[in-house]
Amino acid sequence: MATYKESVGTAVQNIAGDTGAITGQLWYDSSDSEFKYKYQAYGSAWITANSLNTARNNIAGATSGTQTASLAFGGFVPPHTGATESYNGTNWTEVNDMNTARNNAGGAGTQTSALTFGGGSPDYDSTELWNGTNWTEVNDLNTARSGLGGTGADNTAALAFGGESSGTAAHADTELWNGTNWTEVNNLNTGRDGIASGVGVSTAALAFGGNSDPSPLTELAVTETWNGSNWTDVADLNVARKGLAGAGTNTAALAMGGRTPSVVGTTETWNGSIWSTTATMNLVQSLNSGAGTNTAAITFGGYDGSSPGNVATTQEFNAGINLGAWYTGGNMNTGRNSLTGFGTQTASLVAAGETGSPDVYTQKTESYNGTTWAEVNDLTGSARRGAASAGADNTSGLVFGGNAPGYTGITELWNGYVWTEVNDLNSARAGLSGCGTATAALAFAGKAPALGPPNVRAETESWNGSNWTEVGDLNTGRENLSGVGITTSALAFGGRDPVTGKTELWNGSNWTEVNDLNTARFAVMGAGANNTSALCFGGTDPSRTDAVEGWNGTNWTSENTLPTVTQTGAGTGTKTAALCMGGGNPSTDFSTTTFEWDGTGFITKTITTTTD
Amino acid sequence: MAKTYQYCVAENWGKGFIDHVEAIKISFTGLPGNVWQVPAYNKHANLWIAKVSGTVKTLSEAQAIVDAEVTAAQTAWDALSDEDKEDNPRPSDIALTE
Repeated sequence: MATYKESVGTAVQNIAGDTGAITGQLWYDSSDSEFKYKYQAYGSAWITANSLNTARNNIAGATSGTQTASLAFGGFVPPHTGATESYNGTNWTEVNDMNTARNNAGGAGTQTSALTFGGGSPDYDSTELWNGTNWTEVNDLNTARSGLGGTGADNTAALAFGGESSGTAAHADTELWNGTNWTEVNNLNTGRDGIASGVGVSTAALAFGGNSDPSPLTELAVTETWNGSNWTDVADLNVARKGLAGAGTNTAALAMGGRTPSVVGTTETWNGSIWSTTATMNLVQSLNSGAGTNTAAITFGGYDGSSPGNVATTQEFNAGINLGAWYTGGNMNTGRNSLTGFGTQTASLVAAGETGSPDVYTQKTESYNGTTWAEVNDLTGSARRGAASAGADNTSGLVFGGNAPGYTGITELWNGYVWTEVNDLNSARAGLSGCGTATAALAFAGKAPALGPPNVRAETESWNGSNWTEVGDLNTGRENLSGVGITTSALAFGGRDPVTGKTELWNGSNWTEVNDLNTARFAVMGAGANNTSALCFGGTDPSRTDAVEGWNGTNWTSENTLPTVTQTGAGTGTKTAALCMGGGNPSTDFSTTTFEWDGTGFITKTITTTTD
Repeated sequence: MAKTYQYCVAENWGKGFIDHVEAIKISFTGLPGNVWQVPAYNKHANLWIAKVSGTVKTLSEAQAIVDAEVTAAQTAWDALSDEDKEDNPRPSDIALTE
């Protein structure tokens, strides 16, 4: 006999609120008297991965490589290099060099079956074949050139197109490799150099961007698709550029970085018909190379626009990841910057800060319940700014240090109702950071001119509920940093002087340097539970920034930006449920604004019903 | 040429001014003078402007508001002590685009 579920279907669950509702579920919210539905929002982001061993521009790559199996070869260090490196998804390893050192060459194939051709300088026609271990010279291109595009599935089938030769206009020539020889085939419609490589195979490719040559040298947005016989003009890139990298196929591609002529991190995705901009690279790159697909790509090497500017940078692009978002929370009663806070997204406390200029400091304390801020009892000590704090939620915490003005080590304990002064820090300082709870906290870094040079400090102190004890120093002293975690697992990131993106991991005994923030900055805010899960947001780099980065225990990944650039605010909560409170923003130096972060990407929709 | 952005003036009242779904669907940039930049020709952005009773501004009107606020902020910054200047970057000019 059929069950009720088989005959009628699954019953709609009755839930008060949304606690326990899962992605894809439809339920009846008895609190709101509404039917609701939860779904997952997805987005795209860049992650900074481990660098090449050799920084270089005009690098080439195995265009049909993947995000976890790539090959990089050639480039300009200086001098020209034949250096070849293999990527396993984590690290680059040096392997055997090419026979002819060169830069601005074409590339094709995979990590174990690749081809390189052309390049400079002078302009080469030579071709080399990679069998997974060694490069072997094979038959030459018909037309010697550099700055050409190339693609191909492996070392038996490749396509070379465009490029330049000294003293001539940019080439439109296209040549097809059959594993033994190059054959001239139909030309590009628009001759150019600095063209993107790496999209498609020899029978179905895409050429985009580049540089018209000779003068006027103009960055191009022109895109052409190859069907095995002819090139056809299709929709342009949104941002004209040269020296960019590509990945994917001629129906699903990615354009990464380049020069406009400024070096950019602009990323565009191609769906076979049009280009659309997507997440910007963490670090700008041009004269780079790439591989992978338009949903999982890698780019490496190139030039960042500085001097000398050759980079070893590797970045990975991923689409279809959980998309976090910032939205507005309740406004604080007192606008301020350089405040401190502790707690969760629905139970936080802020105290101290600067409320006016010049040097108007406050003792005011406010408590947040996830919706509204309420003024509670003031700090008992001096009004101050640049203090740090620790605490699990708005019922229990600790505030320490600050500038009153004058650097202080004062420590006050919050019991959910009033502040009580307890034992001071050993080192009076401001612009420090802290984490932990009211009974087990860490204080680290800060500025303390009274201690003598350097003004910025590396000292760390541990609180046991009664006293502060000095423990292991940070490797890099700094102030105006952020820190998150607990006394056995903490993370410190950002700060100055000088402005840094350095990140250090605390294991309960020592600080260890790990991968830097993608954007170095100070006056930065943070949230997080421990040294494997954190969020860094806002700050100054040296302009105020809205940049947000998430930490997974190994790398920082770009996340959706704050709605407004913000610095010197306070951060509380976790990597997936954080608060950004107060600070300075474009409209005021003493903001009351609270932004709430949901990093899960879960969206709850109310299903609107009508009644007669 | 098709516009990429549109502008409005609206004061952030706090909780619910930008809600979770809007934050996912719309790219917001808050600018001086309570000027908000949101995508043009975007259904969700248009609904949000209506929700917050935003006053739509042309590019030149929004630029004038932002310029006035930035100029005032720069004047205030110039009067700060050297120590305060270290902590707060001088407000930069902001060039809006459409």
